[in-house]
Amino acid sequence: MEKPLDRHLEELMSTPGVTGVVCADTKGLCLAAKGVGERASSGLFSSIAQQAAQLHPDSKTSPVVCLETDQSMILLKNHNSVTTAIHKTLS
Amino acid sequence: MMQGIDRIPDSAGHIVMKEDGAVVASGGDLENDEVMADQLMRLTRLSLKVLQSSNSSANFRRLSVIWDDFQYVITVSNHRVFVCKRRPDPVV
Repeated sequence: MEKPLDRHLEELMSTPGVTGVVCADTKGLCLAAKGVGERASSGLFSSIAQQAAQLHPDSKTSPVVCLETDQSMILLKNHNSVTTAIHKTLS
Repeated sequence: MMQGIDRIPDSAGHIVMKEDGAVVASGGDLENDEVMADQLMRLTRLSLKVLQSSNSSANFRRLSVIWDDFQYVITVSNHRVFVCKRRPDPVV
């Protein structure tokens, strides 16, 4: 059952610059994780994606949230009740 | 006090807040929008928690919330939270 999700994560991990991926459901439960992404952060990622969507609840699409530090960035998006967090190094 | 945030060329609005969420300045689309200021503050706090929980020494630089036609860009400096609503660069 998890094979398609695992396959997508492997695909993402092979993208240049990607160091980790975490998937979480709407309640923050970690569905899958690979690389540097911490499973424990799945709840926060889910909350951030939901809070960002609340900024404009009438919008048809959910926003992409980009959290940048001086070393890396985390990209977050909620789609079909699944929040995906992608850790990337700054190129 | 404003640090020039009101002079960003493609800005559609801005909010400057203290750490406790009190609005120091606002303008454009976000002028006097206390509800939005509160939601943006919550989002900023959640984002900062991610960095705290990851035990990394990485410093928060910028938080962007991006839709197709506009985005919010948030940064923290000198105990102030700066939010700018921006239209993306037109694609030629």
